[in-house]
Amino acid sequence: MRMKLFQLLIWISVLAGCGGGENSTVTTISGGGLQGQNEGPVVGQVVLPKLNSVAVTVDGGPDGGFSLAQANILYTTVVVCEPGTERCQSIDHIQVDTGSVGLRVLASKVKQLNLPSVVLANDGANGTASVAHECYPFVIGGLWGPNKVADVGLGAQIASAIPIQLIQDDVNALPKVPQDCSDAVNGEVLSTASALGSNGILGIGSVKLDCGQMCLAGDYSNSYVQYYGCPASVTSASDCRPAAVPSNFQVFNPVAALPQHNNGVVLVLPQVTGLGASKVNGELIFGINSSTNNQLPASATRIHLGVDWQHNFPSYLNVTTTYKGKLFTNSYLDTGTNALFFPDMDIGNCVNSSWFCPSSALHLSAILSDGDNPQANRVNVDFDIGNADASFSTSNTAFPYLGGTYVASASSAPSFSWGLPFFYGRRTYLSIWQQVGAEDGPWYSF
Amino acid sequence: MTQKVGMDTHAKDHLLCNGRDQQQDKQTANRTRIGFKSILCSLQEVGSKRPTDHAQAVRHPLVNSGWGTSRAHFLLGVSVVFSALLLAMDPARAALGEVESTTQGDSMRMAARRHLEIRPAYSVYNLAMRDGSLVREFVSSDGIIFGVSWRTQYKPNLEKLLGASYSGYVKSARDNSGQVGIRRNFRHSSSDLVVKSDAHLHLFSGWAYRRSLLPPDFSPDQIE
Repeated sequence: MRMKLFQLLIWISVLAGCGGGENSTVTTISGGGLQGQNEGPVVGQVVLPKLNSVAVTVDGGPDGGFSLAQANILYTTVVVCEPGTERCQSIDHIQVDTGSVGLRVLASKVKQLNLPSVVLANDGANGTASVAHECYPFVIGGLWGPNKVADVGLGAQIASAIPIQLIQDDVNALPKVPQDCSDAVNGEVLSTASALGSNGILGIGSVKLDCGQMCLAGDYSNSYVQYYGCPASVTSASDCRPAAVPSNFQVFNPVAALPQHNNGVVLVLPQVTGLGASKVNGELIFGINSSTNNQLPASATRIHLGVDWQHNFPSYLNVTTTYKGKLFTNSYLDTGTNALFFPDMDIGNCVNSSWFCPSSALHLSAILSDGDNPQANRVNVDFDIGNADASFSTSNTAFPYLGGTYVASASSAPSFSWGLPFFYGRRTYLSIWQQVGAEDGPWYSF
Repeated sequence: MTQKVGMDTHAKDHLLCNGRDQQQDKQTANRTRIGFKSILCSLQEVGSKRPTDHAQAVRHPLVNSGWGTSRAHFLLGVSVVFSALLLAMDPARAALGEVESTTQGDSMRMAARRHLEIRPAYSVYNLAMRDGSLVREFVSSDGIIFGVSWRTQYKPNLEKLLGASYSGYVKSARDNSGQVGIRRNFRHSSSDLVVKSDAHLHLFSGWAYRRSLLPPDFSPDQIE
């Protein structure tokens, strides 16, 4: 059982302790070795903190133990502080997610801190000042809780006074989940570490704001309410009103808010093979071409995410995948997706499951290219799809060959989700749009 | 079934009627139900009115089998009379399994431009929002929405798009909630309802259809 004692950190002393910044040494703890009959090796080196990077792991999650549902979830540790102070909390097992934006942590993990609310001056209930609460939906399920202002420590840098979201995990806390939010998340509010598979989510996707125009305008008529303004001493969700939220009050990409090394990330994960690994160690480096440790080779191809939503909406913030001669205009690299998801009727599914279950591992390839111009910046990608049942028969947590589809999907389904297995054995660069240094829109390179 | 009438204040219709479609409309009228498109095209045919921007438009009544286009014209007239009275009502929700005319309510709710494509065996209402988001509603020749698709910057209100089918979707979602954490894609397939839903950053996309409502020989691949 994992020890769950979180110490109050004096962040500045952590900074001082790092000494050499990005020149810190790397300690190898494990090179592998079977730890049990049914357990794969620990793969990769544990990375010590640097100025512009953090250690990341794929492991059994916040509950520590083996879980059937635990597969390919990438974690890091984040430090959350009261703005401008040294009162901080270190939170382990925060999921690293390049498919969303913003830091969201279980409220109970920062309960010793007194984080200020995000106060909306002229919105919310009765047209007076109100405090922001957020409903953040996924395709299935989603998050509910208040917005707070925090200093967020990543590596040895601090994103100062940025809006984050607390995931309300106190069942007695008020306000309760509004009905519209319950609808938005299909009645599945994820509010525990076991439901989330993490203690929170570090969203470091290709843009800076978690919402944008809809929330700026406060017009949620085409969707669900994302931001609410609630009275400071709110008792009922019905006192919360849909709120218009200025961009600097919306939950912000913590990487984009770092003082330096803020134009993107480089995710470095070791090669994992076969039925997987019990644990994977890697490194998440902040910044691209901002330091000696995040240089993009001059020869590297940049695959640009689509930005021309007016003419090419299906590829907005997506790239193109060409697979078996078919174009998937809605494709993306995403650490928050735990497998490769794409339709292929030639690969058999596991029994009563949408996972792929070929009798032996398949070596496949596809081409990734620009979102707005599929002919530009084409890069070949080799990948493997293995038997998911065989993978899941182990007690591993990292599965490099995990893939799935849904037999019911129409063959025209244009999405190809390159989840975490893509990142094993690669050094993947993901830029953030409109950041200095990421001059030509968001792109991937690997 | 009550008839409803509304004023289309936001939507901009681009109705296409050609000879083939009018012929199809006549066939349609002889089938079980006729739709909004049928009535408007019929109007053009008789030369009395042409739908224009901000025109009064009919939320078409369900017409039982055997009622002809003349009956539809009669109903249209009745509808216009009551239009002012019913303006204050909430727009009907367009949704999977609902009648074609409810697409108008959706275009109002979304403040979307509505563009109609007429194809040989079905029609597609394209509801284009200002931020580039697009909802498409597929209507069979008997005036029923048999499929919807979406590509939107924000999560679309699926309860409104799926209508009576939504509860089946939610149940399936809960039944499949064994996977922890973030979900970026979801498929539901039952004997009738099929749903695909994906999301990544600011692009939500997906579609839904009901097998029982698909036109003959229609391939679901065409719902995009």
